[in-house]
Amino acid sequence: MANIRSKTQDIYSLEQLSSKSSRVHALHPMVKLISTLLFVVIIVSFNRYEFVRLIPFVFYPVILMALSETPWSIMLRRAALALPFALLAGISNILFDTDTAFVIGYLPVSFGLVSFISILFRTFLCVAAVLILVAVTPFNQLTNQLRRLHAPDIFVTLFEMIYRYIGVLLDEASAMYTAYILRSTEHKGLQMRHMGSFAGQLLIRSYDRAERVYNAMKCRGYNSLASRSKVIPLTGSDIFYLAAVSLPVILLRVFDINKLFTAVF
Amino acid sequence: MIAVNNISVTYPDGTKAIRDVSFTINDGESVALIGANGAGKTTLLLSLVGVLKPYTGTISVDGITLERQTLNEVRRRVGMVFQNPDDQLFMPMINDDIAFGPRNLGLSEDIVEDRVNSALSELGIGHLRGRSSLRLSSGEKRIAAIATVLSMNPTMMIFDEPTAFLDPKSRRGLIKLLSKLPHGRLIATHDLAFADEVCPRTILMKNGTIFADGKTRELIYDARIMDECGIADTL
Ligand SMILES: Nc1ncnc2c1ncn2[C@@H]1O[C@H](COP(=O)(O)OP(=O)(O)OP(=O)(O)O)[C@@H](O)[C@H]1O
Ligand SMILES: [Mg+2]
Repeated sequence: MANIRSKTQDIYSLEQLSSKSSRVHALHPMVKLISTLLFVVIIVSFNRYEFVRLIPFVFYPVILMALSETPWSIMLRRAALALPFALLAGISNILFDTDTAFVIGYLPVSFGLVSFISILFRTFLCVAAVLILVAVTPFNQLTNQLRRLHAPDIFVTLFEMIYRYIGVLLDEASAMYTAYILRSTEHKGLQMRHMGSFAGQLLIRSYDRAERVYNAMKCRGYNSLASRSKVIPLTGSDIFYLAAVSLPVILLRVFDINKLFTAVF
Repeated sequence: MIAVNNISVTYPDGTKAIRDVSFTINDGESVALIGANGAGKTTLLLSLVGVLKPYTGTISVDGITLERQTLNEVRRRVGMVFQNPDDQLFMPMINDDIAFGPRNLGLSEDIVEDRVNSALSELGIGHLRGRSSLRLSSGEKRIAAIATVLSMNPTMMIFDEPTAFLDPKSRRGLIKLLSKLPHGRLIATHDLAFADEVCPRTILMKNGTIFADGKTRELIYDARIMDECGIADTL
């Protein structure tokens, strides 16, 4: 907790990449949003015991990471945050789905284990796709495209607010924690009996702070309902990108490429 | 031009923070707002941009009376730099923060980009462009916060204690910078030497009222007046 400040920076570190200029960065935000959505929907649409057919989909993150020059280290660190949730979701499958799916050597592999691995892998693919999207598209462009796709305005605004206030909240927490630690030399960390008042104070302080931030936003003409933005025209490379991403993704979904190979050879 | 006529502001808890205050500030005029802690400086500034609503009196900017319907019009003309830059800088990156206001004005991305660039270069902070505000020093944050307001092309700027948290060198830089900007401005400050250098005119506040309004030189060197306003430390 002592390094909350650096954690806060971590949250936005991916987005800082979004101001870079690579081929992928220059693409139309709508194209990137749609291809990411398509990819995620298709990954999720596979049945829960599928693993082998998912492997070719790795092409998507690998190629995009390379094209956009996004460092793997930042991406993997962020993707790891989703790991506990995937583990939690997958673990019950191992426990309850114990029928044998197939046997490797003498080792029986249960359906549960297969679906566990599938969940982990699918989570990784989806999280990676979304993280890449964030890394190559400025946040305000993303939310503008969501609005143009007629996502309910209240959700988009809420999404923007949460995204921005999380920094405010962590900043406030880190300032309070530092002040606390400096006055409690003999203890390490926050003591249990101070937890309640610390949390209460944090809530009040970040609320106050959020109010001031909101005032400052209003003074600069912020009005959540009137988020206007110029319509950016689609170019040939946008269309090409959309085709280049969605065709393989759809084909891999429709045809079992592994079967094709075994049939040929 | 800002014209304030007999405004009074009361907080919801009953605190009468501003009582019957009137003054005008002309285009290009630079005015200091001085007063002890709790005198009502911040409250006054917030009511000028319509964050707080006076229960009597009127405020007008360039002839436009501040009311619900004209709120955006007034805020486009009067830019407020908040006391704490952390309240003003909330976007992950400085350039997004500077673009925030112009985007809200509905300007096209090209013009927004122009505004960001000229604000950055006018303040000499081009190198901060892609940086996160979390990683800046207090002085850099202060200048960046000014840039977020400058990019809206206001006619009038108001500042709440702009020299707070600044070391002598940054403070000097800020003074230089402010004297370059052509905007009319009202600056709430405790820094008398700063007021002396930047603002020919001073409004002195005491307990929510205007105690004196005149030449900075004549007010801040007058030990009796300053003492009466609860500001012990005369120059
Ligand atoms: N949100 C609030 N609710 C109730 N009273 C408030 C609130 N904010 C300020 N006040 C009161 O209003 C009065 C004027 O406060 P204000 O913040 O305007 O003073 P100030 O001149 O800016 O002081 P400082 O130099 O300390 O910044 C004070 O008595 C203060 O206690
Ligand atoms: Mg104040």
